[in-house]
Amino acid sequence: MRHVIDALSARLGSPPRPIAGDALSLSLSLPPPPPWLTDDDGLNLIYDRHTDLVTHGEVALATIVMANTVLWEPGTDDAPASVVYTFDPTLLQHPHRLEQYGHAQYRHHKSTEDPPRDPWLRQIYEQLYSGLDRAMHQRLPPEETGGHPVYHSATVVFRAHLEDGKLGDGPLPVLVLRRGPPPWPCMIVPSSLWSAT
Amino acid sequence: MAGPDDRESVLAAASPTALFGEGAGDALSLRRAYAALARVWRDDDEVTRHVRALYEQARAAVETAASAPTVDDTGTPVPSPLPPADVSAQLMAALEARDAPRLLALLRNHADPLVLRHSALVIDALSFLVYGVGEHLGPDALDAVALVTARPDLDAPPHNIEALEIAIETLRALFAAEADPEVAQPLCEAVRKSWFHAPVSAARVWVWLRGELAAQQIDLDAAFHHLERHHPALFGALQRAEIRMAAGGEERLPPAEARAVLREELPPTSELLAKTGAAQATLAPALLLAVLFGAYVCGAPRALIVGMFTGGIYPYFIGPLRTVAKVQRRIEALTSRGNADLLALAEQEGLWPGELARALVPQDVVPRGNAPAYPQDHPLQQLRSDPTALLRCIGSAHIARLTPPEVS
Repeated sequence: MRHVIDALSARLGSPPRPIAGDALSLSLSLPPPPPWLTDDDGLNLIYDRHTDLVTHGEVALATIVMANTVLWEPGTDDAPASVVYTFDPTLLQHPHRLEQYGHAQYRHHKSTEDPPRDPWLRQIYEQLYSGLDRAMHQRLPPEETGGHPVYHSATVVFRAHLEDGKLGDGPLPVLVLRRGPPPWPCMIVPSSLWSAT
Repeated sequence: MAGPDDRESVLAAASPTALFGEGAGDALSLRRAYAALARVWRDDDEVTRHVRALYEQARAAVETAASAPTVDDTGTPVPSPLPPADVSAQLMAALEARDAPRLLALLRNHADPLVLRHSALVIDALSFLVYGVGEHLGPDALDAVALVTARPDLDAPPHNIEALEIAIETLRALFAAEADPEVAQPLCEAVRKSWFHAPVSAARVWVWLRGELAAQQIDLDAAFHHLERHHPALFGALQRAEIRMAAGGEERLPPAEARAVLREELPPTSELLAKTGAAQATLAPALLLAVLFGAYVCGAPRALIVGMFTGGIYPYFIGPLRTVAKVQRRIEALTSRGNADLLALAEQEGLWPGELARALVPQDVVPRGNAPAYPQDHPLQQLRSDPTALLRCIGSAHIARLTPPEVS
């Protein structure tokens, strides 16, 4: 997967990217907001800071922790999802490790066990329990990720950005904004920009 | 050697030796000399390019020297004790002699027959080169090791290969960070010194690191932020060192008295907010009761006024409002408190930050609520999730805790 990330980073170029009228800008454009996205939903940040995301976003490798079930089937609706991602080149080389760390976090969703006592893990638990939390760029406890820096975030999955219009197996590249005031949103990079690499 | 503060003399240096000095003959000294110069001249593109070009020249020379056959004082190659044809015997001999340059040369020149027939021996050689002396290899030597490690015909358990590849990537990050003038070099030095070492050795290095960072007046937050942002693999290596140390022994509790006091002082925010919620919940029924009572006594429209007074304005209305304000003040005090006293306790008792944070959570797990139990600014969360917390509290008590007892 590392070569995909490297090739994509090279294709997008270093931030800031001059994108006015560029094909990249068109590829990274967003569909209209889905009807469920109310004004007070934290995921609006993806729309509010989209220009910043495209011009200054950094490429990371992500895996889905959980997503609205409709996204696994063909359809028309865009829906929210939780992802974990990393910039650590070690994990780019071994993406199955990132997948393990991400899938392990799914245990918090609708967990019937007592919440964890560890304050940091408890925070992640609270974010993933309902699936409605809109946490962005939250670093996971290192004990959960073999010490590698891995971040958890909510995002919107746009079908227009996916190959076949639905989620599949395997990791995905995301663009993460890491400048300006937090929270820092992320978006899945449209497959048209990387699936052929 | 050119003075680092004299632009003209830096630009006039025509050779790596003239710029970095004779002392920069090994990869580490060279990287340090380069990083020091690059830091001084980072805002001057012309000087930066010149320094970088001479650094690349010097690095290539150091790499070539490292992979050359072992020579004696006169420069004559030392004869191999075994026939050159038997490369596996040579590899074994080099491994026993812990001769890294010889091992590298053999792996570079005879990888095919060695991997094909002696994969186990090659894995031993790679393990020695990476885990044993990896921090002393240069980037080019590391690339040679990585090439052999990535060979699909290398017959070894996948987890061994993966562990080697992760270690190689961490070393790459270390070398890159050492050449980055923005990186606080004591952090690199600490990774170099505690690389795959026992927890107690790592703890000694971290105590040294704490002192060094303070002596150099390095901003810990900024230093870690830069690593996390630009050298994530090295940031991960520091986190792994912390995990190794914290796992080196039984979990320990702070003194019972301090624990009881701190548990009382640092409740989960959601628990405090639950009290607010209960207080707010009394407001609506209190108002309704008051209106009903007033309507019964004298009818509308004076019902509200009479009812509110006779229904008990304080216990059901002002009381809850005061509770809400009190809880808000307590949450503000809690979140602005910081964690300095917790770090002092951790240092005194030799506790790991995460261990102390867990010990101060109430025994009964707080039920899941609408509000986070420990938001980002809660002192226990700060203690637990701040990557610099251990470096702010590690001391002799931690080393003593990790030191195995002497067997008489």
